Amino acid sequence: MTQKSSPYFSELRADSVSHDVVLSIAGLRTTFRTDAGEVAAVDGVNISLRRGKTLAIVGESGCGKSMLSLSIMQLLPGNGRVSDGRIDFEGKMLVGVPEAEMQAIRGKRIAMIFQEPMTSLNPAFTIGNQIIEAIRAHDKDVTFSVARERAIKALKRVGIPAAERRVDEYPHQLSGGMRQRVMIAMALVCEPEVLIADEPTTALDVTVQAQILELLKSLQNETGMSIILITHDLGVVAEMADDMAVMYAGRIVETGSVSDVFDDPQHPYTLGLLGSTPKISEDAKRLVAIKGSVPPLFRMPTGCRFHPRCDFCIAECKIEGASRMSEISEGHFVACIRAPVEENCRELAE
Amino acid sequence: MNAPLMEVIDIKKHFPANSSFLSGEKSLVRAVDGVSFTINRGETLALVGESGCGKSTTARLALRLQNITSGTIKFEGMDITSSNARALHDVRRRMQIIFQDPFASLNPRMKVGEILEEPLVIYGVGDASERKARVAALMNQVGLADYHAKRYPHEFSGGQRQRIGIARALALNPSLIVCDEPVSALDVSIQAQITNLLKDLQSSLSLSYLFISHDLSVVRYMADRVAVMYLGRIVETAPKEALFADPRHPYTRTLLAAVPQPDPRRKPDRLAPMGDPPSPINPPSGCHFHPRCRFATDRCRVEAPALVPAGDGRLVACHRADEDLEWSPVSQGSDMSPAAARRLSICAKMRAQQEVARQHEQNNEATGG
Repeated sequence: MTQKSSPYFSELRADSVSHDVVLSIAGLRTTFRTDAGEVAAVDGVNISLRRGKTLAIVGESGCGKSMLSLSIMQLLPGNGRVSDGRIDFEGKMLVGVPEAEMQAIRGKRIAMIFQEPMTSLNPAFTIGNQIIEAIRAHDKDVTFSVARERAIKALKRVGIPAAERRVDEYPHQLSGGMRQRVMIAMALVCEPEVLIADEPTTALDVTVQAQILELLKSLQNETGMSIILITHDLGVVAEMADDMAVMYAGRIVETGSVSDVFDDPQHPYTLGLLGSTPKISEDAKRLVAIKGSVPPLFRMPTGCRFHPRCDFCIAECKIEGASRMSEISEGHFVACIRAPVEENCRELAE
Repeated sequence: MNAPLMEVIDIKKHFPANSSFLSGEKSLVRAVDGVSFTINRGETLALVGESGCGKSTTARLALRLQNITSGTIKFEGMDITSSNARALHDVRRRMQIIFQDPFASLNPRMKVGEILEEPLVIYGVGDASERKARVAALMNQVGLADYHAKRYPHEFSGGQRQRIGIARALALNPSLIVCDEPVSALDVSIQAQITNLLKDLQSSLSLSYLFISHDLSVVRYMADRVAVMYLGRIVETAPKEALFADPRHPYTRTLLAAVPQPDPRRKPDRLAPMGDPPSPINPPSGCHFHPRCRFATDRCRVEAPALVPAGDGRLVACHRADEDLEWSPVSQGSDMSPAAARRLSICAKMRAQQEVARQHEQNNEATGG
């Protein structure tokens, strides 16, 4: 297999199919001031979100996937900032945009839903009032009663029964699944072009999760919005996404279409995730777990950050440049000098 | 001895709930409403279900951590339903529990060594140096290093804390360990480490597990038999192979179909809209599942089905269990691409080689040093 080295793949890709891309991120670095000095939670991330498609960012806790989404929204905590890189949204550079301008985009053109709907909703206001607030925040000319009608319509659209009555209820009166539906209704009421869904179903029971995923898919078909789906669950990725990016310790280690990455997973971390996921359709003898655990941000390994946990690590993996992206096949990039592993371990490949 | 290790017969737990603040009308939450199961020696019985189905309460009742409203619990041939505190003290060294949250279940003011020694002290096992040796052996057994004994829980990651919780449960050589969502709070790579560890410990110490989980994939990996709970009742119980290949209760079907599978080629084939789980305060009449079941008949709305044998060690509580209902088959077989499977087998071989090398090194150290 020939590997074409292209560190700036995201720009190359964005240029060739730019009409297709609604949001592209290049070289993004998000840093935090901490007692241990400045640490990078996101370190040189390149992704592009195709119009009307779903891009899944998959990784474990602490890999930076949530900080990536908060960087896009400019909702980083006080000690965090985007220190390098570009975020290009429909030809507009989002990094460094004044807050007033960002407010016109946030919630209106790029909306976000979070993992825990109970903490995202204000317990002291009815769900109707919270949706109306979202509508009127972006369009002062909408009267209260018109906004209320739109709120009811939005609730109906996300499958809330008796929306006319429910609109006057408080968050605690709803079940977890209903609350997440309300969050989705609120996020979509301004018809955003991009929806960022940060672990939207992690807190929900599996039968409710299935319904919320179906709902997101049908709303996407209806509105043509693009979705960035942040998740740790490869099952959710396989079911929902068109493209995926696997993140580890602040960097993307493998990215491509979902079928490319599942059919031909290259990075040992991607393999480790697949091996660690128990299967419901098969009796597995033993899970191939990943050894060790994620390093803390202030003690990142040199070279490829996965090398201390990797079975295939050699000396070259520990020096800078080991994590450079290579294009394995069109649009499928991997940051591993040992990929594909069978070519480097022939004696074990039999 | 072929008698089951634990036998739980028709246990119930009703909690009072004030349904109406103004009228003061009392109502009951039937958290566990007539549950029976047995656990054999060396086996893993999984209790699965969604939040609020009563699976954790059932486990706590079985350990007598909460008192039951009615029913019988037998452990190692002894009826412990109404044992007093003194009798329970003796029984409890044989039955232990691992909790879901590895952050909340360890005392932050105690060093790991003290946490692991405490059960030994309580039961007066050995003298100080014997206990120290036992703590070291326990830590080694769960993959922690000796020097970890001097550290506090906050210095550990979630996965390592769960190892500490497991070591604590093992301290008194129990025969039964209740694992209450032991990997739900962990990342998937750590989850795999811990489930592998639990399996290894089971085979080396011939433990029995009562494994509580909402994650059916983890259950398929861990369990020998599975009991599916819905609103305080068991709706189906069967050996693992039978349950996953051919679930007979519509709720089991719904659950299995709802799990997203890590295979983009496999498109989910879900049953009709399922709605939200109803409240256990006011459960539906008849079969609790009927409002979400697309096969429900008039009989299901009125009469609660009993859990009856359906062959091959299976029990089902469904009026229509014998009928050929129209549902799509559950997908079976590997969902991994050939390339992924090939590379993972290389990973596994690599791991095995490294393990052999590591043990070799240890042996050399032991003999040479």
